[in-house]
Amino acid sequence: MVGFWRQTKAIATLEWGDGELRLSLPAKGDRMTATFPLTAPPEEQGFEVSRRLRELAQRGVFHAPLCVVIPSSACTYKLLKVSMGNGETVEGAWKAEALSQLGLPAEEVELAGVEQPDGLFVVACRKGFLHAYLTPILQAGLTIRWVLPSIVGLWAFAAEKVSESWALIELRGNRDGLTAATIAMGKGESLRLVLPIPLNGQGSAEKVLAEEAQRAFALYHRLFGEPVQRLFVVGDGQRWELSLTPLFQLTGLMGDELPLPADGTTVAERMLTSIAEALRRHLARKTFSLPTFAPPQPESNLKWRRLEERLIGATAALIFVGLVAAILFTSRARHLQTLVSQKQAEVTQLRQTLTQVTKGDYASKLQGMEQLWRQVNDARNDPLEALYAISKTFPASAWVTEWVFLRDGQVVLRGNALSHGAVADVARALTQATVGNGQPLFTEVQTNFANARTEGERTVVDFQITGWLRERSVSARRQVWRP
Amino acid sequence: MRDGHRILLLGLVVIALLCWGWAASAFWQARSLSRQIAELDEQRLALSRRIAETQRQKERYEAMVRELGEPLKRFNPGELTARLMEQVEGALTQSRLKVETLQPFSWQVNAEGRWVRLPVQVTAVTTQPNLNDALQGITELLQRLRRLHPPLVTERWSMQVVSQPKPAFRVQAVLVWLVPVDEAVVKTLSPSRPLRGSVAPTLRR
Repeated sequence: MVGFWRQTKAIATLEWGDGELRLSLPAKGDRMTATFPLTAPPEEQGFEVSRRLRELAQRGVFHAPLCVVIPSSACTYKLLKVSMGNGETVEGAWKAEALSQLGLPAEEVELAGVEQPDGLFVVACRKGFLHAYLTPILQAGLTIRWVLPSIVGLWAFAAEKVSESWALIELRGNRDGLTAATIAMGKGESLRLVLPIPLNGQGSAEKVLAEEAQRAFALYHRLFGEPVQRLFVVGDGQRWELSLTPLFQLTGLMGDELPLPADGTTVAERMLTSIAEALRRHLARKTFSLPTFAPPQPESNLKWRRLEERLIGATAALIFVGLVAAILFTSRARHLQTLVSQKQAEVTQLRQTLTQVTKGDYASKLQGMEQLWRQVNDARNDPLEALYAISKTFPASAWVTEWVFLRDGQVVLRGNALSHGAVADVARALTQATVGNGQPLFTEVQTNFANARTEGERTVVDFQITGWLRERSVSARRQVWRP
Repeated sequence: MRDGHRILLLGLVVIALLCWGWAASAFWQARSLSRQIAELDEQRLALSRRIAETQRQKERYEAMVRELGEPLKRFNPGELTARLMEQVEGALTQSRLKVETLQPFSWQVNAEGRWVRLPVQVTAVTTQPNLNDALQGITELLQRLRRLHPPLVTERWSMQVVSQPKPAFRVQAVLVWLVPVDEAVVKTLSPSRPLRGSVAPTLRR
């Protein structure tokens, strides 16, 4: 059984009212409790609760099934001598009976019932109150699984502790003091009677509470034929300077404070933890037997409205981004337009300049001039250079009688020499003649003839040598050599 | 309230569409302008290159004009031939060469190169006392011919040693005056006859 309990999922409980929002949540093998003071005016506290819960939900604290605890004083309780049964007809019958006995209109009241050994225990609550209480929770996007009056939750927690008739007084208050009390009575695990005790504006709360409790015990004794034997009190009596000793003395019962679990800083937080524990135990029994109100579903309109709100936000963001982008791009386009105008003006000016400079038709003129210039500066059209080079290299054993410089670099030398060897020396000297940067003057040197003849006692060799000047790149200015 | 939300949402959607339409339009405009700027930059670069090239051609042309002479806007072959003969004779005389023959040949037009070719054949004898001085005189003659404007090209140069009445060099040369002319002058000369000449008289002394 214990193992089965451990497997049951932990439950989160939530309660708001009396200027506070209280939570008891399961957290990593333990429980986490918190109380948030509500600073907004009472009519705006719903918005504050919604905002606070939304923040908590965004942090991911609501992962357990949620039970909303409503104040006991907001409900009316009645034990009916009817059977709850199953099926819609039977359910309609007990609800009609309950409404009849409670004297409340069906369209204004929400009912919850649970079968007890003595009959059907019915809890009624105004729909308007439930709507106002639960709407902030639904607006925060939370899913409510159970809606439970706090006195019922406390009964479920305390029920297993005694077997005789018992009474449980729940004390409620705010920063100013004790505001209400609710007394539940029953036997063993059965709940028989729940009575609210209003305390607002009354001077001596202890006395009123004791008198009302005595009246309730008397009513219980008359209705069920047995007296209340055990009294539990739950609530922060010390906070409101309420001494319980006179109450116990006046009622003459064995009474004490209901021991609550340690999880929770305040008594109200520990009460929430107790209710969560009781609910978890009841769930583990498979047959759920607590009178809880049907959990409300988020309205479809609310969903649509949230979707619309998100869409509005997203669209506004889109507008902002689009506007920023449009302004940036427009400014960029204007800047570029200015640049384009400037560059177009530059191009137009350059075109005009080009038109002006090309008017002279320098390309074709230059072509003709370069052709002329190449011809003028061709080294092969310059006899002076060839004359200098030849006279520098010519051997002393031969002399020139005729020197012909023809077009296209052909040079013919006619002359006389003392021997054929001297003619060979001439040919060799011409072959080795250099000009400029040591390049050979002639590409080819050819001896046309070398004829010996005797003139008096001397032998003279007539010769003719032809050489072809080497082509050279045209230099800008010809150097003047002196032979 | 719900209708109000929907109207607000609708209005915002319309505004968002307008904003994004504006942004898209501005984006495309900026993109188109960027491309236009790139094209203009390319055009500007190409034009700058062409201008620089044309300037370079102009400078080179002007440098060549300084060296080769301004192209003639009016072509008078008789006057040019006379000037050529006068200059050549002057150079020969300055170099102490005695002119025997000075005969101009027919002139020719190079339409492609825009210049006119004026050839002249000259025969002269050195008058220096010895061959060494005569060779020096010939060198000076060649240098003088090289400095003439318009430029003179030696197409044929023949030197022959003669012994009578005293040792000397007889020089026979074909000198060609290359005269640049204006395009208008080239057009006035008959294109069907690129080699046009006139028979000039032979001057003998």
